[in-house]
Amino acid sequence: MSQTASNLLPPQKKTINSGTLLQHTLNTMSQVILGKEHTLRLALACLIARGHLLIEDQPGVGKTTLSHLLARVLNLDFQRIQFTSDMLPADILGVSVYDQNSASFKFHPGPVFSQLVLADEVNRATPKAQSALLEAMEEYQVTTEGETHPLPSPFFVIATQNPSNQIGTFALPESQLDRFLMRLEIGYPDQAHEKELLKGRDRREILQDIEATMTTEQLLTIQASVAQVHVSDSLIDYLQKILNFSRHSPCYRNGLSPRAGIAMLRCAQAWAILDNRDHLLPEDIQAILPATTNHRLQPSAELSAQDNDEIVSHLLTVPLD
Amino acid sequence: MKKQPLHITTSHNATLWLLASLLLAFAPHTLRLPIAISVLCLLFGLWRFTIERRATATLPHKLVRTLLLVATLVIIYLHYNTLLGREAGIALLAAMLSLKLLEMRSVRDYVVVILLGYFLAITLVLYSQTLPMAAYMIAVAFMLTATLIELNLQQEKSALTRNLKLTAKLFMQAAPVMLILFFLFPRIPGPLWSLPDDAHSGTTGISDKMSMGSISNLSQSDKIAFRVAFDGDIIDNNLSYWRGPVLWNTDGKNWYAGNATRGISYYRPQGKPINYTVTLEPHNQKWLYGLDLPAMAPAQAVISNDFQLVTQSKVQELQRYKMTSYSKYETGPLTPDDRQRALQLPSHRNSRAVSLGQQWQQQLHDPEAIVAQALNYFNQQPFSYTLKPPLLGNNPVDEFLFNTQQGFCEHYAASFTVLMRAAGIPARVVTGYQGGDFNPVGGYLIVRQRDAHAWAEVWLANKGWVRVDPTAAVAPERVELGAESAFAELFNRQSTLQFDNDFLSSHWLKLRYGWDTLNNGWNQWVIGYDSLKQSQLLSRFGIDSIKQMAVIMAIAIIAALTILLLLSIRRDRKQHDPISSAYHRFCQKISAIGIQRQSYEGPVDFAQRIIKQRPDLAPQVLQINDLYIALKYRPRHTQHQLKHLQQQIRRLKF
Repeated sequence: MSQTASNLLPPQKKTINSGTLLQHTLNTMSQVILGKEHTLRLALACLIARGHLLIEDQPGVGKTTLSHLLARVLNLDFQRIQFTSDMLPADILGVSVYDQNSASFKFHPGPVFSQLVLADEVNRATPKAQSALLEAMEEYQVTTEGETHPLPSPFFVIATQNPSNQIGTFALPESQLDRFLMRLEIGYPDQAHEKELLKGRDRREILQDIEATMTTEQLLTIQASVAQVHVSDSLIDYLQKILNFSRHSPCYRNGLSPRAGIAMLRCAQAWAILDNRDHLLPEDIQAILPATTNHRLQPSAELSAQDNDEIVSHLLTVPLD
Repeated sequence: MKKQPLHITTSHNATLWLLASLLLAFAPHTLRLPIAISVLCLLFGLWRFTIERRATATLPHKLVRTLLLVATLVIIYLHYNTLLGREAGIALLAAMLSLKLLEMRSVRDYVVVILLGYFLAITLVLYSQTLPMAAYMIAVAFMLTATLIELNLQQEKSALTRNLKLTAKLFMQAAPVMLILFFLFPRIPGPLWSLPDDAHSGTTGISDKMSMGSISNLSQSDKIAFRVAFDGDIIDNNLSYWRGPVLWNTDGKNWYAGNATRGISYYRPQGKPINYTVTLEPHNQKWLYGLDLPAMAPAQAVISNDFQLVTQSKVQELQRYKMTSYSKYETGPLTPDDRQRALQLPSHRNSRAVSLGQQWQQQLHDPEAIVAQALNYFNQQPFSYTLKPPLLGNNPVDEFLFNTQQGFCEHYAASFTVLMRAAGIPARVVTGYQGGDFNPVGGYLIVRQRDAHAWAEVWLANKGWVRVDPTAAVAPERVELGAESAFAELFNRQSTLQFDNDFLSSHWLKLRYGWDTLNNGWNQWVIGYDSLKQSQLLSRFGIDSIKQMAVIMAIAIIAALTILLLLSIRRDRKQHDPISSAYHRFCQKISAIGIQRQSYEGPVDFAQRIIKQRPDLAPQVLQINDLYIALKYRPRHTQHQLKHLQQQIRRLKF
């Protein structure tokens, strides 16, 4: 859908710089992660919409590479936190240590104080440690012992989960899943791209050669421009129809929250920016709909046998007007 | 040869539905049409079916189709010598319809074929208007409607139950409208237009010409001639003479009605009047049947001076009329003219019979004695009553009376009349029906073709015309019990199932009578629902004339239209958005080439899909799409853009 829209519409002068920048960024990313343009585009849209990303997939499909890659092309400083069951909140947020010279406690920021945080296997940690991260994600600040420390800007969390091998894990509760803007599955590459992957250079080496495609200022400008994308009334109505459908359809156990609605709209606007447009189209909402809703919706009891993807696809059949 | 690609814009299922329902509509015609046409139509259908089954479907080239068209036209023309009329017209319709299958590509083509299918189904009524045919036609219409639904709601999976349910719903919704129009739409007396001349060929029944053997042929037919409902008790079988043509003239072999004079006819009725209602099947002749002797004519006929019920035009539709008759009567004196006609005999034929009559006249003098002598003659001589009389030559009466002595009613009636005329007694042959079976379920009499009969009338000085049935002298059971009993063995073998078991056989009979009652109801209330019945029905509701009804109908229609108009204006105002309605028009135009916008489909996706199927439309579609998006989704737009969009959509052509 994205390609079609960009082919069909003349570029808009207003966002021409960010549009080309983002296109260049996407092209660069595609050189490292092969055959996953749509996933990369979604991840980038998630980032410029100031959302956090949950990746749920098998080990070895490129979750870490994707995080590294994003940090690299967007020129962000990057921290990886490997979640374990004995982890404490302080391991993520940082601790205050008594400084004898100044005779006071000095805060030592934890790994979360980074522009791009990869929270690897987030479901291995206890709920206590998980909630420390999730609170930081929501508030964009860390409060310990009465002191508030703002997180850097931009701040972007990529959390990963392994869907299989669930023994000894603490699955994220629905309320916390809602804080992720998107859930993505990367999936296996197709035959041709896997061949290229096997024959080509090591991805880590390629990563080292990648250069940043934009400055942090440029990224912040783009993030700020997301809200400027024009949304016509009819599209607000359309989005509301989707939300209402999720709330009243017998397919779902629970509907989409207002937070989800806001997140979807931001994400759709970001998608429009990626398409170099200053206005939203229904196709933008449809493009981001599965990724932004599939972790928020649970199939109802009588329909639970169905695939989650299939259930989300019902949302795509909500009439436009 | 270059083949045209078939852009299948409709689902495979819709084609299968269509082929099945067309086959259903066509099936009853197959035997009536020339074999070549039937086979061609079925072949074209089969061709389309095989095209549909192949993965890379291609339709035959235009040249091939043109050649097929010409060949078909030639075949039809050679067979009928015309392309008009009922038979040729239906052959043409069926052939063109099946040829259309070979160029059916877009949704529009499908709709055309479906509508023609409805038309083909309607033509069935030109042949048969019976209850089973009506049920069959409803089934065809049902299937065609389901095909329309399949076409319009096409999905990956064929939803059989959904289609049938929706069709049933549509039919239920249409039923009240149908009933209202059927009962209340002003009926015009007589048919609105006349059927082609060939429409009533092959109707069986008594004709105005009788020859030896013509009625016995008729007597093997089980078809119903008419039904009679009596107001009072049913009459005795031996009084149940249904008067048809009266035959005066003879050339010694054949008997003719001649010109029935529409003079004053009167008689002195005796006894009680018999009131009854006849429902006459169309028989393509200019008379009605009434019980001997009719006392008055229904509106559509006059009584001739020999008491026939003569109509203005041929009876080509079911007729229903109320009658009064008297079974005892005394007709007046004979005019000299009529006496001459009633004594006419050809001089050169049947000389032995004539001399026998003259001999009786010399011996007996008294006319009544001569009649008795003649009946006695039939009774005493070894005459037999048979359905299969031997063929007779140039002097049929002589051969019958003195050689073969085997005959059916017309033999006896004709011979008797010849004998009487030879003896100087005015006589004539009357044809019609005698007897009939009583249907106890419906309480009416069924008279079939096999009840066709011929008898004689002689004029006696103090009694007027007297009915004499010479057949009764030979085979009294024919008159008393009816044709079915007289030839029980033959009829049973031919037409009806015979059960040994009494229980089964009585139930079978009940079932047959019940079925006939149903058919009679159909004839009375559906086929026979004419202007007269309509005005009777309306007068029950206090509406006295068709004119009044027409005014009421007009007011009701105007009121209904006004309400609909107001509703649609309200709905329009509700969604009065020129951009959306312009885009809606665009989608409607595009749907004509078989691309339907889904309700959830965004404009860019839709444009992309159109271009994929019709790359030639790309420039126009892209321009319209850009304008629409600018108007609908971008922050600022101008009135000029809207005008431009509307203009572009108007100009869109394929």
